[in-house]
Amino acid sequence: MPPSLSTSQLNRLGDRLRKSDVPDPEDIQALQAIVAEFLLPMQQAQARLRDLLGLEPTSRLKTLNSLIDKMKRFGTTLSRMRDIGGLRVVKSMDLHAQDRMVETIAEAFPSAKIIPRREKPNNGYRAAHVEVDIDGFTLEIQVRTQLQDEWAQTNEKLGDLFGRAFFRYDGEAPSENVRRIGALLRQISERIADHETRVAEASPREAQLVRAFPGSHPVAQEIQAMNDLRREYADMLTGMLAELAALVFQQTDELARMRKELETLQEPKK
Amino acid sequence: MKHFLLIYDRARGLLLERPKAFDDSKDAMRERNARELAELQNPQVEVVVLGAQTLDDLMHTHSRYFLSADALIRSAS
Repeated sequence: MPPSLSTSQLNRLGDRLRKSDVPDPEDIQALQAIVAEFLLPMQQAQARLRDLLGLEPTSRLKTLNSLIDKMKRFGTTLSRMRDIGGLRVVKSMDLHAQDRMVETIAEAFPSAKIIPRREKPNNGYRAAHVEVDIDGFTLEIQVRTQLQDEWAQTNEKLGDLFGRAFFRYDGEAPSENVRRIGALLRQISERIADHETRVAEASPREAQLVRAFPGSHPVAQEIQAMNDLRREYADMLTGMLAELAALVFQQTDELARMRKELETLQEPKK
Repeated sequence: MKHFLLIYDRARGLLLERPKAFDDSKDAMRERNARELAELQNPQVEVVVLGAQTLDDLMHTHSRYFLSADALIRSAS
Protein backbone atom coordinates (compact mmCIF):
# COMPACT_ATOMS: atom_id res chain seq x y z
CA MET A 1 0.00 0.00 0.00
CA PRO A 2 1.54 3.40 -0.95
CA PRO A 3 1.95 6.27 1.57
CA SER A 4 -1.37 7.78 2.61
CA LEU A 5 -0.15 11.40 2.41
CA SER A 6 1.11 13.19 -0.69
CA THR A 7 4.56 14.82 -0.76
CA SER A 8 3.10 18.28 -0.21
CA GLN A 9 0.89 17.07 2.66
CA LEU A 10 3.94 15.47 4.28
CA ASN A 11 6.01 18.60 3.91
CA ARG A 12 3.30 20.86 5.31
CA LEU A 13 3.08 18.60 8.36
CA GLY A 14 6.88 18.58 8.67
CA ASP A 15 7.00 22.40 8.44
CA ARG A 16 4.47 22.81 11.24
CA LEU A 17 6.37 20.40 13.47
CA ARG A 18 9.71 22.04 12.68
CA LYS A 19 8.47 25.52 13.49
CA SER A 20 6.58 24.81 16.70
CA ASP A 21 8.11 24.62 20.18
CA VAL A 22 5.10 22.69 21.50
CA PRO A 23 3.71 20.58 18.65
CA ASP A 24 -0.02 20.26 18.07
CA PRO A 25 -1.20 16.84 19.38
CA GLU A 26 -2.98 16.21 16.05
CA ASP A 27 0.28 16.74 14.16
CA ILE A 28 2.05 14.35 16.52
CA GLN A 29 -0.59 11.70 15.91
CA ALA A 30 -0.32 12.25 12.16
CA LEU A 31 3.46 11.78 12.36
CA GLN A 32 3.05 8.60 14.39
CA ALA A 33 0.65 7.27 11.75
CA ILE A 34 3.19 8.04 9.01
CA VAL A 35 5.96 6.23 10.89
CA ALA A 36 3.69 3.21 11.42
CA GLU A 37 3.09 2.99 7.65
CA PHE A 38 6.75 2.00 7.27
CA LEU A 39 6.22 -1.21 9.27
CA LEU A 40 4.93 -3.35 6.42
CA PRO A 41 7.49 -2.39 3.74
CA MET A 42 10.21 -2.74 6.37
CA GLN A 43 9.08 -6.28 7.23
CA GLN A 44 9.02 -7.14 3.53
CA ALA A 45 12.56 -5.82 3.06
CA GLN A 46 13.72 -7.66 6.16
CA ALA A 47 12.34 -10.98 4.87
CA ARG A 48 13.90 -10.42 1.45
CA LEU A 49 17.29 -9.66 2.99
CA ARG A 50 17.10 -12.77 5.13
CA ASP A 51 16.44 -14.96 2.08
CA LEU A 52 19.06 -13.16 0.04
CA LEU A 53 21.94 -13.11 2.51
CA GLY A 54 21.15 -15.92 4.89
CA LEU A 55 21.64 -13.43 7.71
CA GLU A 56 19.34 -11.97 10.32
CA PRO A 57 18.89 -8.28 9.58
CA THR A 58 17.26 -6.13 12.22
CA SER A 59 15.08 -3.07 11.73
CA ARG A 60 14.39 0.17 13.52
CA LEU A 61 11.77 2.88 13.13
CA LYS A 62 12.98 6.40 13.78
CA THR A 63 11.65 7.99 16.95
CA LEU A 64 9.45 11.08 16.88
CA ASN A 65 11.99 13.16 18.78
CA SER A 66 14.76 12.17 16.35
CA LEU A 67 12.55 12.99 13.37
CA ILE A 68 11.58 16.40 14.69
CA ASP A 69 15.17 17.08 15.79
CA LYS A 70 16.50 16.24 12.31
CA MET A 71 13.93 18.52 10.65
CA LYS A 72 14.85 21.36 13.00
CA ARG A 73 18.62 20.81 12.90
CA PHE A 74 19.07 20.38 9.14
CA GLY A 75 15.82 21.80 7.76
CA THR A 76 15.18 18.41 6.09
CA THR A 77 11.68 18.15 4.65
CA LEU A 78 9.64 15.19 5.85
CA SER A 79 9.24 13.77 2.33
CA ARG A 80 13.02 13.71 1.87
CA MET A 81 13.72 11.82 5.09
CA ARG A 82 15.53 8.64 4.02
CA ASP A 83 15.88 6.79 7.30
CA ILE A 84 12.43 6.71 8.92
CA GLY A 85 12.62 2.96 8.38
CA GLY A 86 16.11 1.49 8.70
CA LEU A 87 17.56 -2.00 8.46
CA ARG A 88 20.96 -3.16 9.59
CA VAL A 89 23.25 -6.06 8.77
CA VAL A 90 26.49 -6.55 10.72
CA LYS A 91 28.98 -9.25 9.81
CA SER A 92 32.60 -10.05 10.45
CA MET A 93 33.87 -9.71 6.88
CA ASP A 94 36.48 -7.91 4.80
CA LEU A 95 35.78 -4.97 2.49
CA HIS A 96 35.48 -7.19 -0.58
CA ALA A 97 32.74 -9.21 1.10
CA GLN A 98 31.03 -5.99 2.19
CA ASP A 99 31.09 -4.71 -1.40
CA ARG A 100 29.69 -8.00 -2.69
CA MET A 101 26.90 -7.90 -0.10
CA VAL A 102 25.99 -4.34 -1.10
CA GLU A 103 25.91 -5.30 -4.78
CA THR A 104 23.71 -8.31 -4.04
CA ILE A 105 21.27 -6.09 -2.16
CA ALA A 106 21.29 -3.43 -4.89
CA GLU A 107 20.53 -6.05 -7.54
CA ALA A 108 17.63 -7.48 -5.54
CA PHE A 109 15.81 -4.18 -5.04
CA PRO A 110 14.77 -2.21 -8.13
CA SER A 111 15.87 1.45 -8.05
CA ALA A 112 18.30 0.81 -5.19
CA LYS A 113 20.84 3.56 -4.57
CA ILE A 114 24.23 2.80 -3.01
CA ILE A 115 25.51 5.48 -0.61
CA PRO A 116 29.28 5.03 -0.22
CA ARG A 117 29.66 6.19 3.36
CA ARG A 118 32.85 4.18 3.73
CA GLU A 119 34.68 6.27 1.16
CA LYS A 120 33.08 9.49 2.44
CA PRO A 121 32.93 9.10 6.22
CA ASN A 122 30.76 11.46 8.23
CA ASN A 123 32.41 12.44 11.54
CA GLY A 124 34.32 9.15 11.40
CA TYR A 125 31.25 7.01 10.63
CA ARG A 126 32.04 4.42 7.97
CA ALA A 127 29.63 1.89 6.51
CA ALA A 128 27.90 1.06 3.26
CA HIS A 129 24.28 2.16 2.92
CA VAL A 130 21.74 1.17 0.31
CA GLU A 131 18.52 3.12 -0.11
CA VAL A 132 15.68 1.04 -1.49
CA ASP A 133 12.11 1.82 -2.40
CA ILE A 134 9.19 -0.43 -1.52
CA ASP A 135 5.71 0.74 -2.51
CA GLY A 136 6.77 4.39 -2.35
CA PHE A 137 8.54 4.07 1.01
CA THR A 138 12.28 4.76 1.07
CA LEU A 139 14.20 2.51 3.46
CA GLU A 140 17.84 2.71 4.45
CA ILE A 141 19.79 -0.55 4.66
CA GLN A 142 23.04 -0.25 6.60
CA VAL A 143 25.71 -2.85 5.87
CA ARG A 144 28.54 -2.76 8.40
CA THR A 145 31.61 -4.85 9.03
CA GLN A 146 32.11 -5.87 12.66
CA LEU A 147 34.82 -3.23 13.17
CA GLN A 148 32.73 -0.47 11.54
CA ASP A 149 29.82 -1.40 13.77
CA GLU A 150 31.85 -1.48 16.98
CA TRP A 151 33.14 2.00 16.18
CA ALA A 152 29.63 3.30 15.33
CA GLN A 153 28.06 1.84 18.48
CA THR A 154 30.78 3.36 20.67
CA ASN A 155 30.44 6.73 18.95
CA GLU A 156 26.65 6.72 19.36
CA LYS A 157 26.91 5.67 23.00
CA LEU A 158 29.36 8.44 23.80
CA GLY A 159 27.07 10.83 21.93
CA ASP A 160 24.19 9.72 24.16
CA LEU A 161 26.26 10.33 27.27
CA PHE A 162 28.23 13.45 26.40
CA GLY A 163 26.35 15.24 23.59
CA ARG A 164 24.90 13.93 20.34
CA ALA A 165 25.40 17.26 18.52
CA PHE A 166 29.18 16.94 18.83
CA PHE A 167 29.56 13.20 18.23
CA ARG A 168 27.07 12.85 15.43
CA TYR A 169 26.49 16.22 13.83
CA ASP A 170 29.82 18.04 14.02
CA GLY A 171 28.55 20.47 16.67
CA GLU A 172 30.56 22.21 19.40
CA ALA A 173 32.26 20.04 22.01
CA PRO A 174 30.75 20.72 25.45
CA SER A 175 34.17 20.53 27.12
CA GLU A 176 37.88 20.05 26.36
CA ASN A 177 37.77 16.48 27.64
CA VAL A 178 34.87 15.61 25.35
CA ARG A 179 36.71 17.25 22.43
CA ARG A 180 39.69 14.97 23.14
CA ILE A 181 37.40 11.92 23.26
CA GLY A 182 35.93 12.91 19.88
CA ALA A 183 39.37 13.50 18.33
CA LEU A 184 40.59 10.12 19.56
CA LEU A 185 37.49 8.38 18.20
CA ARG A 186 38.09 9.90 14.77
CA GLN A 187 41.71 8.73 14.88
CA ILE A 188 40.52 5.23 15.74
CA SER A 189 38.12 5.35 12.79
CA GLU A 190 41.01 6.26 10.48
CA ARG A 191 43.11 3.39 11.86
CA ILE A 192 40.24 0.96 11.35
CA ALA A 193 39.86 2.20 7.76
CA ASP A 194 43.57 1.73 7.17
CA HIS A 195 43.55 -1.74 8.70
CA GLU A 196 40.48 -2.85 6.74
CA THR A 197 42.05 -1.62 3.50
CA ARG A 198 45.33 -3.45 4.18
CA VAL A 199 43.52 -6.66 5.06
CA ALA A 200 41.40 -6.40 1.90
CA GLU A 201 44.53 -5.88 -0.20
CA ALA A 202 46.24 -8.87 1.39
CA SER A 203 43.34 -11.30 1.67
CA PRO A 204 42.71 -12.15 -2.03
CA ARG A 205 46.42 -12.91 -2.43
CA GLU A 206 46.32 -15.08 0.69
CA ALA A 207 43.28 -16.96 -0.60
CA GLN A 208 44.81 -17.45 -4.06
CA LEU A 209 48.03 -18.83 -2.61
CA VAL A 210 46.25 -21.20 -0.27
CA ARG A 211 44.22 -22.55 -3.20
CA ALA A 212 47.21 -22.88 -5.51
CA PHE A 213 49.85 -24.18 -3.09
CA PRO A 214 48.21 -25.67 -0.02
CA GLY A 215 50.73 -26.24 2.76
CA SER A 216 53.66 -24.70 0.87
CA HIS A 217 56.29 -22.30 2.24
CA PRO A 218 54.97 -19.17 0.42
CA VAL A 219 51.53 -19.86 1.81
CA ALA A 220 52.89 -20.09 5.34
CA GLN A 221 54.72 -16.77 4.79
CA GLU A 222 51.61 -15.10 3.45
CA ILE A 223 49.48 -16.31 6.34
CA GLN A 224 52.20 -15.18 8.74
CA ALA A 225 52.16 -11.72 7.11
CA MET A 226 48.40 -11.57 7.50
CA ASN A 227 48.59 -12.58 11.13
CA ASP A 228 51.29 -9.95 11.73
CA LEU A 229 48.98 -7.36 10.20
CA ARG A 230 46.16 -8.35 12.55
CA ARG A 231 48.47 -8.40 15.58
CA GLU A 232 49.90 -4.98 14.72
CA TYR A 233 46.37 -3.60 14.49
CA ALA A 234 45.32 -5.20 17.77
CA ASP A 235 48.39 -3.78 19.58
CA MET A 236 47.81 -0.32 18.18
CA LEU A 237 44.12 -0.36 19.00
CA THR A 238 44.65 -1.62 22.54
CA GLY A 239 46.67 1.50 23.40
CA MET A 240 44.16 3.88 21.84
CA LEU A 241 41.19 2.17 23.46
CA ALA A 242 42.87 2.27 26.87
CA GLU A 243 43.35 6.02 26.43
CA LEU A 244 39.72 6.36 25.31
CA ALA A 245 38.47 4.35 28.31
CA ALA A 246 40.45 6.59 30.69
CA LEU A 247 39.03 9.78 29.13
CA VAL A 248 35.49 8.38 29.19
CA PHE A 249 35.86 7.35 32.82
CA GLN A 250 37.08 10.85 33.71
CA GLN A 251 34.16 12.46 31.87
CA THR A 252 31.57 10.10 33.39
CA ASP A 253 32.99 10.85 36.81
CA GLU A 254 32.78 14.58 36.14
CA LEU A 255 29.16 14.28 34.99
CA ALA A 256 28.24 12.26 38.10
CA ARG A 257 29.81 14.95 40.30
CA MET A 258 27.88 17.69 38.46
CA ARG A 259 24.60 15.78 38.80
CA LYS A 260 25.19 15.37 42.51
CA GLU A 261 25.90 19.09 42.90
CA LEU A 262 22.71 19.88 40.98
CA GLU A 263 20.66 17.56 43.18
CA THR A 264 22.10 19.25 46.29
CA LEU A 265 21.11 22.64 44.90
CA GLN A 266 17.59 21.43 44.13
CA GLU A 267 17.03 19.96 47.59
CA PRO A 268 14.60 22.06 49.63
CA LYS A 269 16.40 24.18 52.23
CA LYS A 270 15.60 23.24 55.82
CA MET B 1 9.75 -12.02 13.56
CA LYS B 2 9.31 -10.18 16.83
CA HIS B 3 9.16 -6.51 17.67
CA PHE B 4 10.86 -5.15 20.75
CA LEU B 5 9.96 -1.97 22.59
CA LEU B 6 12.92 -0.33 24.32
CA ILE B 7 12.79 2.60 26.72
CA TYR B 8 16.32 3.98 26.85
CA ASP B 9 17.74 6.87 28.86
CA ARG B 10 20.36 8.49 26.67
CA ALA B 11 21.84 10.73 29.36
CA ARG B 12 22.53 7.76 31.61
CA GLY B 13 23.14 5.34 28.75
CA LEU B 14 20.89 2.58 30.06
CA LEU B 15 17.59 0.87 29.47
CA LEU B 16 14.94 1.99 31.93
CA GLU B 17 12.91 -1.22 31.54
CA ARG B 18 13.44 -4.75 30.31
CA PRO B 19 12.86 -4.97 26.53
CA LYS B 20 9.25 -5.88 25.84
CA ALA B 21 8.65 -8.37 23.00
CA PHE B 22 5.57 -8.33 20.74
CA ASP B 23 4.51 -10.90 18.17
CA ASP B 24 2.30 -8.35 16.44
CA SER B 25 4.02 -5.21 15.17
CA LYS B 26 0.81 -3.19 15.49
CA ASP B 27 0.66 -3.90 19.22
CA ALA B 28 4.27 -2.78 19.53
CA MET B 29 3.52 0.46 17.69
CA ARG B 30 0.41 1.11 19.78
CA GLU B 31 2.45 0.91 22.96
CA ARG B 32 5.33 2.87 21.46
CA ASN B 33 2.98 5.70 20.48
CA ALA B 34 1.47 5.92 23.95
CA ARG B 35 4.85 5.85 25.70
CA GLU B 36 6.33 8.29 23.22
CA LEU B 37 3.58 10.82 23.88
CA ALA B 38 4.29 10.58 27.59
CA GLU B 39 8.00 11.26 26.98
CA LEU B 40 7.65 13.85 24.20
CA GLN B 41 9.01 16.71 26.31
CA ASN B 42 11.87 14.57 27.51
CA PRO B 43 14.21 14.08 24.53
CA GLN B 44 16.72 12.22 26.70
CA VAL B 45 14.34 9.27 26.85
CA GLU B 46 14.24 7.27 23.63
CA VAL B 47 11.14 5.15 23.01
CA VAL B 48 11.96 2.87 20.13
CA VAL B 49 10.61 -0.22 18.35
CA LEU B 50 13.05 -2.60 16.70
CA GLY B 51 12.31 -5.71 14.65
CA ALA B 52 14.38 -8.88 14.95
CA GLN B 53 14.07 -12.64 14.98
CA THR B 54 15.54 -12.78 18.48
CA LEU B 55 16.71 -10.42 21.18
CA ASP B 56 20.24 -11.78 20.61
CA ASP B 57 20.15 -10.56 17.00
CA LEU B 58 19.17 -7.15 18.27
CA MET B 59 21.91 -7.12 20.88
CA HIS B 60 24.37 -7.84 18.09
CA THR B 61 23.30 -5.04 15.72
CA HIS B 62 22.22 -2.45 18.32
CA SER B 63 24.65 -3.07 21.17
CA ARG B 64 24.60 0.59 22.21
CA TYR B 65 21.26 0.05 23.94
CA PHE B 66 22.47 -2.95 25.91
CA LEU B 67 26.11 -2.28 26.81
CA SER B 68 27.77 0.43 28.86
CA ALA B 69 30.35 2.72 27.23
CA ASP B 70 33.06 0.86 29.10
CA ALA B 71 31.82 -2.54 27.89
CA LEU B 72 31.59 -1.27 24.29
CA ILE B 73 35.15 0.00 24.39
CA ARG B 74 36.36 -3.26 25.95
CA SER B 75 34.48 -5.35 23.36
CA ALA B 76 36.26 -3.47 20.56
CA SER B 77 39.72 -4.37 21.85
